[in-house]
Amino acid sequence: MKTTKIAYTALFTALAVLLHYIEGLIPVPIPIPGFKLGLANIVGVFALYYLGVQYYVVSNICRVLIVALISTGFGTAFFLSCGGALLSTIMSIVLYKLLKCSVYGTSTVSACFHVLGQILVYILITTTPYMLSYFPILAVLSMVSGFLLAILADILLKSVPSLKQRRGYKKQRDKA
Amino acid sequence: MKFLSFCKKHISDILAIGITSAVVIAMFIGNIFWFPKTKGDKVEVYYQNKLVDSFDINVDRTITFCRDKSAEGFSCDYTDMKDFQGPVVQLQIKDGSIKIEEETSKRKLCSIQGSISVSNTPIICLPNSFMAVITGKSEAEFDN
Repeated sequence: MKTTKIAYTALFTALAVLLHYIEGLIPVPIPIPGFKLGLANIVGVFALYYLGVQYYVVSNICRVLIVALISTGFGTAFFLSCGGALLSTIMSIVLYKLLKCSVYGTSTVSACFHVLGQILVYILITTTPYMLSYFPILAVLSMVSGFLLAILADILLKSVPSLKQRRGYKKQRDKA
Repeated sequence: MKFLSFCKKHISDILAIGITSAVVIAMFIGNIFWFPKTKGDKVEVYYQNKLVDSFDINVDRTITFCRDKSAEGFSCDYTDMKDFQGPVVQLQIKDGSIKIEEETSKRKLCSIQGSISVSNTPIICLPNSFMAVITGKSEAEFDN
């Protein structure tokens, strides 16, 4: 891991935690248990395409742990968060590395798998299958929000100079 | 031509989103058979994954579940529900439907789910470890 990338990972993790907190302040617009906009996922997807897989994984792990430490605790919400993050991270890596998907495909599909992970953990905890009845509607909503967040992430990826470009600017500045 | 080149460029995205959408649609259809939305005949209340009690859906009543006995202003039907975020959760059974009438947790995640009148669609209050669901005789396989 390079120092610059480690610094960016820390920055993105902090931003994701902040967005998670802000999201908690916004009233849930749709009365379905478990529905969230997933604002923190913009940062996750951006980190994957900007920094790479290992930094994305580290950022996700840190985000889940920090959110549990400062907000939700290590109860049911933590396990749900772990389930969602695990499945969506694995899916994102598969889509990014193996299928060479763009930010749109990765964000949309991983949002769906995030919901699936959470529901599976919920079913394991409660040993009742009822939550599965919410999966299709939650999956559709999460895919729509995942796609919308991908548009934002794509705009960010196009407008923020890549790390190589940044290094080029620095060299030019040092020469001048 | 532009459309074709766009599709070629994003073939993996289209495939990934398309396959996922197909699975979700299949789940939608499967849900109709796995969780049939029928008019149930009883309400089952679960706390910490254990059945607390079941009630007749046709008898209108409000049941109060309390964290402890010190819930002021409420007469508790069930107490010692330590996982509750606030002092009480009130479940209302009225005209064959259920809803969370009163809830003292911060984000009101349970009461915003509104009222439910069909079976197999639960009202889930995750922060309180509380769940209420209408069940019917035909859905015996889902009973714990």
